[in-house]
Formats: sequence, C-alpha cells, structure tokens
Amino acid sequence: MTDVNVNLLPDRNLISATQTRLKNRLLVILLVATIAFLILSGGSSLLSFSYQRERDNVFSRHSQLSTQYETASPKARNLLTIHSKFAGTKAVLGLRPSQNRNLLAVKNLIPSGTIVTSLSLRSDSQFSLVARSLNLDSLARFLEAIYVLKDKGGLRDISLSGLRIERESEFSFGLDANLDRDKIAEIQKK
Amino acid sequence: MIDTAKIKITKPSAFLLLVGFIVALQVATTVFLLPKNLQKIPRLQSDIAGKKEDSLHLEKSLAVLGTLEDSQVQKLVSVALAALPDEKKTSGLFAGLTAVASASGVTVTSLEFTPGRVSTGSASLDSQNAKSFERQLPHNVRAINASLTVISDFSSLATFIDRVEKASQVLGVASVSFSKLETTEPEAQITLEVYYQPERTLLATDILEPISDQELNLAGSLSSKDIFKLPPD
Repeated sequence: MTDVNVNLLPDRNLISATQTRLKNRLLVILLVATIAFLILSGGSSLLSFSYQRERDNVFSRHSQLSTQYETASPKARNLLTIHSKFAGTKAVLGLRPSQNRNLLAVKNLIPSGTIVTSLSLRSDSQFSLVARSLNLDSLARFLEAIYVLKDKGGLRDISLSGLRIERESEFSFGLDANLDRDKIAEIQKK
Repeated sequence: MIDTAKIKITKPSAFLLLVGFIVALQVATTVFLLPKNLQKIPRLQSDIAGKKEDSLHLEKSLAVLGTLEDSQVQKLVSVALAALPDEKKTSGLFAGLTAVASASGVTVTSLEFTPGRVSTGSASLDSQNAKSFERQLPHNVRAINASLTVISDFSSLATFIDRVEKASQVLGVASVSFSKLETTEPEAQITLEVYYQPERTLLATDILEPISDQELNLAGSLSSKDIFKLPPD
C-alpha cells in the first residue's frame, strides 16, 4: 500500500509571489500616504511657523517704533494741532463773511446831496438802504450812478421803492440790490 | 506543513494591519492639523499686514518729526491756536472788541451771544443750547453768532469793521445794519461770527505730514498775539 500525499495548498512560489505583490502595494500606499502626510501637515505647520515668526518680528519692530513715537508724542500732537488749525483757518479765511469792502462800496455809491438814513448789509452781498436826496439833481446823480454800476455788472437785482417827494423838493426812496464789490472797486478805480 | 502555511498567510495580514494603522494615523493627524494650520495662516497674514502698515506709518511720522525743531513747532502751535482756538472766546471778545472800538472812535453799547449776554457774565452756553446756534464749517470749524450794538458814524464804523477783520481770524462780520444815520448818535447792529475748532481734524493715528510751505506762509500772515485772548480759568 502506497501513501498518497496530496498538497492542497497553493504552490510555494505562487504564495511567495502574491505576498511580494501585496507587500509592494502596501509599501507604495504607505509611501504615498507618508509623502502626502509630510506635504500637507508638515508644509502647513512649516508655513504657519514661518508666519508666526514673521508676525513676532513685525510686532517687535512695531513695539520699538511705538516706544520711539511715544517719546516724541508731544511734538507729534503739536504737529497735528498745527495741521488741523491751519486747515481750519484756511477754511475760515475763505468762507468768513466780510462787510468792510461792502460798506466802502456802498459808501462810495452815494453822491453828495444824498443822505443815507438807514443801511443794511447782509452776508450774501445784498444790501438795502433808505436815503434822502436833497434835490432833483442829487437824485438824478444817484440814479445815474446806480445805472452805470448796473450796466457794468457792479449791481444787480436792483429794486427802487417808495419814491416820495418830501418837503422843499426833497426825495426819499428805498433801494434794494446785490453788489459785486470787486467789480464796483474796479469801476470806481477807473 | 499546514502550520507553515498559516504563518505565511498571517504574516501579510499583520503587515497589512500595521500599514493600515500608520496610514490611518497619518490621515487623522492631517485631518486634525491641516484645518487648524490653514485657519491660522490668514489671521497671521492679516496681523502681519496690519502691523506692517502701522509700522510704516510710524516710520514715516518719526522721519517727519526728526526733521522738525522743537522751537519751530512751539512757535507755530501758538500761532495756530491763536488763529483758531479750541473754545469760543466769548469772554475775551468783549475786552478785545471794546479796545478796537475805542481806537476807532466807536462806542460799544452791547455784545450779545445768542442766547447769553457776555457783559452780564452769562455767556457760557450749555452745550445743548449752543449747538442749535452754531454753524458748521469745513474742518470741524464752528461759528457762533454774536450781536454787537455800537454808536458810530459811517466812517468810524468802516474803520472799526476793517480793524476787527484784520485783527483776528476768529471773527467774521456777517451783517451790518445802520439806523438813525441822520441823528448825532447813529446806531449800528453788527452780526459777528465767532469761529473756533473744538475738535481736531486729524487723529493721533494718522501719518504725520511735514509742515508745508503753504502752512508756513499762512503762519507768516497770522499773528500769534491775537487781541481776543481767552482769559485764564
């Protein structure tokens, strides 16, 4: 009687080849995973670390500069005051109303023989007056002066009102107008 | 024979488990670390950018301050504050205007700030009331109205107004109303605007600019000895 041995296991070489392939695949997976891990985690950590370091440097520089600025802060405050006040002063000088030249312009408008009894100068170069001309000639001179200034653009929106003949050929009247004091000064110079 | 085969099968399984464990560990670490790091980076970038900008401002400001002499700055500050004070010069105004009036041949009969009267010592307006009477100009400049009554003839009044306008930038003459011109005591009502700048237009965090030629020219044209001095508290 002869023993018959039947080996149902795969061929030794076959097992070995499968194992090697599996091992290789696992090694590749491990390698890829490790590389990915290093790139993602390591890279991001490195980047974060580098930014953190830069931040520390920048903050330290800022702190140094702040200390220097603190030392010079009274001078800095004064400089800010200068800029602020001069900007404001410039605005005031450009916008503040001035009645001095308006007053002179109106004063020069009145010929001899005409007496102003009340005068009102408003901020927008508008003025109104009540005057009295002592005779017809004075009234004519006044009206002529008004007409010339209107013609040359020194006066506009003129309104003459309440012309009345008073005693002994005197005339009283009211005048409302807008004046351009620069033009009036120019005209009066000529 | 069978034992040998078992070992041969178990060995790769253990290796597989080990690899699986390592990979899982890596993935878990990446999943945990990556979002944390990625979240941190923009915040750090913004911190850096902000501080860098601040540092640049400070460097520029320090460079400007380095070029200025203390004495020059002090002189310009006194001119600037006299030209446009922080507070309304209500009390100092009466003395200043009376002095100019007397030099021009004009008699001041009253000076009134809406709603307070300076000469009676009630010029300090409460802030709520004052706001409704103030006019806002550019650069945080405010103007408050004052009503001045004087007795004067035409020429003296013209001189007075001219002197007031030239004496101080704090004042503007808004309107003039003359009456009783035929009498020996003509009366004029003058509406003045009093300017002041309670708040600065620039903040301490702003970059300092050097003093410009325009500002130096303006300072040259202004007097540091303003006639309308604020009396000490």
